[in-house]
Order: sequence, then structure tokens, then C-alpha cells
Amino acid sequence: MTTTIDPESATMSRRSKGEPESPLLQLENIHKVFTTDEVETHALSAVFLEIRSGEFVSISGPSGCGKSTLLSIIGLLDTATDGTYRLEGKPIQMLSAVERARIRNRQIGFIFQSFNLLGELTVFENVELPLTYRGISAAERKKRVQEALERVKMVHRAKHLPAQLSGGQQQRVAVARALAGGPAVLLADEPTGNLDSTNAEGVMDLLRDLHQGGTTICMVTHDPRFSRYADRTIHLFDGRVVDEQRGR
Amino acid sequence: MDTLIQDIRFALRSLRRAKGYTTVMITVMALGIGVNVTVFALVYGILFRPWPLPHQERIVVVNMTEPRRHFKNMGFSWQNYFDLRDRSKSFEHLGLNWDNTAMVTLGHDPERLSAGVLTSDVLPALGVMPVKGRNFTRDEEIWGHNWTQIMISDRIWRDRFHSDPNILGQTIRMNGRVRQVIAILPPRFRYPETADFWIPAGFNAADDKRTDTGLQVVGRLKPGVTVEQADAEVKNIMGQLRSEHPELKEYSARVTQIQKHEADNDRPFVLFLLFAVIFVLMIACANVANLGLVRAAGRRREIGLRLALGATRGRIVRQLLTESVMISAAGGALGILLGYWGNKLWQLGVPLEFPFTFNFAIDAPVLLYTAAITVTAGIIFGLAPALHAAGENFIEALREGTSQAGTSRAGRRMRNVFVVAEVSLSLVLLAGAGLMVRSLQRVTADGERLRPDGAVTGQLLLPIASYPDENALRRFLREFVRRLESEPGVHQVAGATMLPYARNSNELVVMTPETGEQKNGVVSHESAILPGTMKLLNLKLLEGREFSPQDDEHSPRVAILSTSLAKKLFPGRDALGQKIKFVGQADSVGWRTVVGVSEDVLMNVEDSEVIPYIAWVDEYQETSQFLQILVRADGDGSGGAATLRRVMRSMDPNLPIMQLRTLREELRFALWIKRLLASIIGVLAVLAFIIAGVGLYGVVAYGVAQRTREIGIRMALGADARNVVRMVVTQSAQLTLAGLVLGLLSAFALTRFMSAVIIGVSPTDPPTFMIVSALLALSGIAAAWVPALRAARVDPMVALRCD
Repeated sequence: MTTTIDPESATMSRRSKGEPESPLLQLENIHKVFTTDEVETHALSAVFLEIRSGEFVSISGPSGCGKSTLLSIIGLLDTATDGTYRLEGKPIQMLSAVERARIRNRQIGFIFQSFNLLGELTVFENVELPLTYRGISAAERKKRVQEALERVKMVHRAKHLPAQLSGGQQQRVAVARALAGGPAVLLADEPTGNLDSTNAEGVMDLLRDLHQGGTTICMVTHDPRFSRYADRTIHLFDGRVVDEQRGR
Repeated sequence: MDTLIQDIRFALRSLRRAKGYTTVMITVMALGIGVNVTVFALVYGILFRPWPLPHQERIVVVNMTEPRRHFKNMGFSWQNYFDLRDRSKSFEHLGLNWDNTAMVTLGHDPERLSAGVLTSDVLPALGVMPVKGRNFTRDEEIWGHNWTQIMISDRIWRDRFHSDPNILGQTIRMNGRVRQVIAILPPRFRYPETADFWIPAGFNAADDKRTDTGLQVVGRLKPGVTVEQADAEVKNIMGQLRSEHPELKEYSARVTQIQKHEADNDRPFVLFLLFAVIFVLMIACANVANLGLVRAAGRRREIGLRLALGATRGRIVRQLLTESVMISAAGGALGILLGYWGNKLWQLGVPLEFPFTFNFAIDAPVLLYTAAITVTAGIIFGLAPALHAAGENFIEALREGTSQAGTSRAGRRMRNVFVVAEVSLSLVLLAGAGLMVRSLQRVTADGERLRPDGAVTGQLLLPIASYPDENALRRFLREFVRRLESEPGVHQVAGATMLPYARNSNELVVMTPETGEQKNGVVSHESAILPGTMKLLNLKLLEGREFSPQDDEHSPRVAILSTSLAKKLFPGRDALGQKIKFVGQADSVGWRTVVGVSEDVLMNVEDSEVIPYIAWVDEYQETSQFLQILVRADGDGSGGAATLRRVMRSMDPNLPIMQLRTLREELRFALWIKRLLASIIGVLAVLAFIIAGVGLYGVVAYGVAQRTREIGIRMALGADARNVVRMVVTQSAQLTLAGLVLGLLSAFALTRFMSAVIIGVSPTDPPTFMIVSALLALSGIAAAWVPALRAARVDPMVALRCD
């Protein structure tokens, strides 16, 4: 049986801080097992996690603890071996690949450690890319890209290629790309991992500003300096949630 | 030298490691070089290989010309030849010859064999002397004095006379005359055409007119005299003859080196083939260059490391070029083998004997050409990847972690350019092959209008010795037709000196009282036919009547014109009852009355420009020694063939029916050159198509492999499988489209040079161009489909994993 979610109902959550709603994301007893030859690796075991609209959640832990696996399941890049995952109250594990792609496109914004901008496309075209998959008119796309670039203060670089930008600027463009579609949640996987400390601070300040504007953010980081930007920090160890800290 | 050996050693090791890549590269090059070997052997054999005659550069052909009509290859009359021979100072020898078909009795039954008719100067002009016996003499060049001598080929002496040492003086019966063997000519010598016998040409003043143009003149220039000097002298002599003989006022003459002259007809055909195989080689090179670029991209780290360790860019280029030349050399070696087989294979498709001057051996010149194209191809396909690879910033490439790692924009652009070139070259070849096939189909389908089933045809050659005058010929023909018609199962009997859809034709200039001077006449096909021929061949008579038995030697001369000729000669008027005559005909013949107008029909399938004008005349009024007899009888034709043989035997046991075939076989035979050419071009085009398809597939597949991470990112951003498939197929479609546009432009420009080898189809035939374009477009999509599906299965997790 397939459950569908109407992606059109999803809009960027803009709720003021301190007013958590019903869970935007709800993970119950999530397991992820990788099987290679005859060896089973339990990447995640019995993970329970809720993220409400407007929250800024940080997932931390040592290398190999399952942070990125958890983020990929939340971002619908991967599926859990077992457990239930609800997005806006609707289970998503039975969705087809096409429906998952639609949700990724409309409700989730990704920020990657190495930016993942397409070298062939200009800054404008990179930001525009997810909107093109949605069949939005050119005029509307232009408007949204413009807005997103303004939010990350990169309008003046719209015609540049990624190679012509610094690492920090590239990550700002990646943030703009994640924002342009008006996602329900921003998923950031080590967004400062490839940046020097100055640029890293700049990107974190940007995420903080977005969060203060009401954006829901879920960020994976192993750097405690940046975990502090989040409302809540989930600690993973060997695929299990071992601790949760609130407040900054 | 040391470094070269090192390069070779490293190249061998490197290629051995990449077995799949090496195998594909060598195979593609072998195919490209193989077809070149085959076709170059053909081209060289026809156009460039020196004839096996001493100082062949001094052997020339002298032709009469009629500049106003652009006739360049006419022959001479005896009288003009004598004047030319006596007045010129440029020639050591100037002889006159023509080829003939002779009825020769060597055993019990007469056979039709090829013979040459020569004056005594021909053999010295060619530099050939009998290996046994003597040459003809000038005394024997007189009609009546030339009836008893014959020379035979080495082949006939060995095969039919078992190398009899006492052959001289033995007798051979030819065309009803008994001749004595006076000489054996050297092994392999067969001229003109594929002659096995030679008899003296004899001048008969009563039978020669200044305006006759049927006798070929061949000469040997004196040492130091150039072709241009001889040409100027001959033109000067023709000027004198024009002033002395007003009937020659339209004529001039020219001198051409004999090999160049003989190759003139074949040049468009063989050059077309040569272009086609060079195209295939270019496609193969582009394909292999593409694979080279792919491989170079995969070796960026290795090359970066070499650069970091101090290798110069020149050294890197040399290393990579060594590899490509080695691949090309291996492909060349294999290509020679393929070329050898191809050479044997196409010759099996030729139903005729080649002239002795044709030699298609794969020997030193062909191997030299192969070596040249092998090395050139190796450098061409190796240079682009080598320069590109050595020119890249590898240190940066090693450091960078972008989604385009492993490739570069310049590399992609270069690969795309190669693919576009491959597609466009393929389109040109496919269009060429398509036009050939369409032309063949069109002519074959058109030939069906003759209703070939159930009809047989055979050639009849009545020797002058047995049938010395027109009355004897008429008597024979009338009786022959009467007996055939009375045979059970025979429905129709007919005959023609020239059948439609043949490989040759008789062209004459037709005049009317209004056209006045001969220059205003119309060049037309001429064929003498028996009554009932049009009906048997199912040719529609649009006006008037067909010939009847009443049109005979005692009644006024009559003619039937094809509708195009009727309109051309008598625009806006009824052609029936009008008068025509042929330029050069005997004055006693006078005007002919047009009694019918027939539909147009293709007469000569080898015509580079179709002449729709046909003048049919009555065989009983013309009488010729040669006639193509037609019989339509019950059954599949075998009964008709047996009847023809039986009746002929009852009429004259010494006369065979030659080339007895069904009419369908005759039509098929007439098209053998077109069929062979279409087959060769078809094979080349299919080869090019496959190589280009593989090239396109390779580029798209490699592009997908290189873009795995990019595709993952796109999928992470919301692209679904359809988006990804569309993206990949679009990329392929864009390349294909660019190739199609370029190919169409090139094909439009190049196929017009094919007009000499296609008939009945425009060189820019829209259906052909549409079909080949659609085929290539579909192949472009098909080539992208598998990589596209593979791309759609990319796991979006790669966007994270690569971090």
C-alpha cells in the first residue's frame, strides 16, 4: 500500500522561536542494517527522534556513529531497514521512488559538506536547479532564485561559476539552493566541514539567521563549537541515540 | 633511442593492462584500415598502377571530338586516320583498332569469344611484340587481304592448344572464315578489352566516310614528345582536314595518355569509393580518439604524478602517442588481413573478366598506403587525447573534490566534437548508400514494366562470311522468326539491336528538315527492332502504330519516337507523318517517316545523364549482323530457351545463341555494377553507422559514469528517474542533432557528385535524407537509452558518500 503526501501543502515553516508545534519529523524505532557479503553492519539501532517545525537540531557523534546515515534517511535519500518514519504525520517508507523524489524536491533542502554545486552551471542555475524539476514557470523561478540569493547575500555572484567562488561563498550558494524551493526542513551534513574557521563561522551565522526567521534545521556536525548553535543536540554512538542536550 | 624503447615497453605494458580498451581500439582501427586496404587496391589498380607495357607514359589514345556537343571520345574513320598517320610527326607508331565479338570454332561447337581488330601499328604502339610468329603488315590492312591471318593469346595457346609448339600455321575458323595462326602474343596481354584473338583491320574504301567515328586510334609518342605537344599537332592536322573536307567542320581531336583515358569512365566510381572509405577511417579515428580521451581522463592521476616527478609535457605527449601508434599499427596489421579478404570478396561479385591492365594485388604500393594511413591515423587519433591529457592541470585535479572530478570541460567538449563528427560523417555515407539503393530499387522496379517473367533473350551474331549482304541477313531473320513463331508454346517473338535497361547503347544524332545543320540535331538512343518488339516488351504506343511485316526493304523507311524525342523535335506539333534522319547515315537511306510515338523508357543504366530520347527503327529495313532475340513462351523461360537453341541449330549449326538468359536475368545482369557498388557502399555505411553508434554510446555511457555524483546530487535535489533519463537522452539527442545538421549540410554538398553513379533519383532525394536522418536519430536515442537507464538507477546517497 502506498501513502501519498500532498507536497503542495508543505510550505516553509516560519514559526517564532519557543512555539514548537506537533512533530514535523517523527522517527520511531529506526534500524538500518548494511549487508556486505555475509557481514551485517548495524548502522542505526532503535533510533527514536522527533523534530518540530522551527527547531534547530544538531546531530553529533564520532566518525562512523551513523550521523550521515540518519540524515540520509531523514532526507529520503535512503530507507530504513525497519521502523516508522512520518513526515508531517504521514508515513513515508512505502512511497515510490518518484514520490520520494517529489518530497525531496518540495519539502527538503539539502546542504552538503562539499557544497555539491554543479561545476557546469552558474550560481543562478545551481539555485534554480531544484525548481526546474518542479515545473515552475521561468518567471517564478527567477523570482525565487533572486530571493534565495538575496537571503544569503550572493546576488552579485549570480552569473559566476562555482569555481570562481571561495569555499564559504560556494556554501552560501548551496544554502540558497536549499532554501529556494521553500522546504519544510533544511538538512545540513557537516556544512562547515570543508571550510576554514572564518568561513565556517559565516555559514553558521547564516543558518542561525535562517532559524531565527523560522526555518527548521537538522544539522550533522562533529564539531561541538557549531552544535551550540542548535536548540537541541542529539548524540549518536554506534548507531544509537545516547544523549540529548537542550538549549544553547 | 633509449627513451623510445622505454616508451614502447611502457606502452605495451599499459595496453596489456587495459585489455578491453585495447581490443576495442584495435578492432575499430582494423575495420577502418581494412576497408581502406580493399578499396585502395581497387582505386590504385584502376587509376594509378602503371600498365604492364614498356614506357606506358608514351602510349596515347587519339579521339575525334565534337566540341559543340561536348563529345570527347569519338573514334576516327579510316581516311581521317590515314591522314593523321601520314601528317603527324609526334608519333613513333599510330595504329587503329576496335574490339569485336567473334564466333570462333576451336572444338566442335562455335563459341563467342572476344577479339581485337588491329592495324599493324597497334602492337608496336603498345610496345608488345609476338612471343612467337610475326606482327600484321601494312599490306594486310586492305579489305580482302585481311581475311586469313589470326593471332592468339598465350592463354588460348596453353589452354586450348595445349601449348602446341607447332601452333603457327594451324587454322581456326572465325566468323565463317578459316584463318591461319601467325603469332602468339605475350602472356597476360589482352587488348582491347579482354581479347583472346587478333585479326587484321582491313580498309574498305566503299565502306568508309569521313564522318565515321567508330575506330579507335592508339599511338606511341616519340621520345621527348609530350602529350600536350602531340595534342597541339593533332588539333592542327584536324584544322587542315576541316578546311579540306567541309563535312568535318564540327570536328576536332585530342590526345590523352592511355591510362588516363581508360580511367576516365571509372574515375567517379572509384573516387566515390575512396571517399567513402576515408570517411569510414575518419569515423574510426574519431571513435578511437574519443576512447583515448576517456582513457586519458582515467589516467589523470598517473599523468599528474609523472608531471610532478619531472616529466615534461612533450614527454607525456610522446608516451601517449607511442601507445596510439602501436594500437594503430596492430589495427593496420589486422586491417591488411581484413583488406585481403575484402579484396577477394568483392571480386567474387564481378561477373565479368577484368581487362589485363587491371591488377588489384595488395602489394608494395598498397602496403605503403596502408602504412601511411596507419601512422597518420595513429597520430590523428592519439594527438588530441595526448595534447589534452598533457595540457591539463593535474595537480589541481588531484586536489579538487568537485562533482566533475575525473574529467574536464575541455575534455567533454572535445569528445562531443568527435561524436558530432562521427554522426555527420555517418550520415553522409548513409545518404550515399541510401541513394545508391534507392536508385537500384527504382531502376529494378522500373524494369518490371517489361514483364520480364516468361521471356528469354539471346544474342545473335551473323558473320559476314556466311551472310555477306542485307538480303541474306533478312532472309535468315524472317525464316528464323517464322520457325520460332510456329513452335508450340511460343507466344511472341521479337528482337532489338539494343534492349532497354542495358549496360550500353547506340547513340546517334537525329535531324529533321527544320533542324537544318547537324549541330541542331538531338542526340538519341537508336535501336532497330523487329515488328512486335514493343508489344513483347510491354512498351506502350501512345500514338500511331508499331512496325509491321509490311515495313520492309521495299517500303518507305519508318521510325517510332519516344514521346520525349517527339516533343523535342516537333514541339507543339503532331509527330506522326513527320520526317527524321540520322546524322552520318548513308545518303541512299533518305528521310524516315514517323509512324508512332512510344512511351519513354530507360535505355542505358550506366548513363551518367539519362537521355530520354529514343528513335526506334525497323530491323527489316536496317538489317544488322547483331540482334538480341526475344521469345515469350509458356513457363518460366526454360522452354523458350530450349526452343531458341533448337531452332538456331536447325537454321545454322555453326551459329550459337549467345548469352541466353531469361529477360529477368538480363535485367539483373545489366545492373551488376550498380548492385556491387551499392553493396560495397552499403557495407561501408553500415560499418560507419555501427562505429558511430558505438562511439555515441561510449561517450554517453562514459559521461554517465563520470557524472554519477552529479546525477546523485540532482536526485538528492528532487530529480526523479524520468528527469535523469531525459537529461541523458537529451544530451545524446543534442549531439546527434548537431551531427545530423552538419551531416545533412555535408551530404547536400557532396551527394551531387554522385549523379554519375545514380540514376532515377535526385542526389538530394528527400525520402532518402529523411530516412537516414531518422535512422541516425533513433540510433542516437538507442545509444543513450542503456546509459540513461543506468543513470536513473544512481543512488542519490552518492551525494553524501563522496563527501
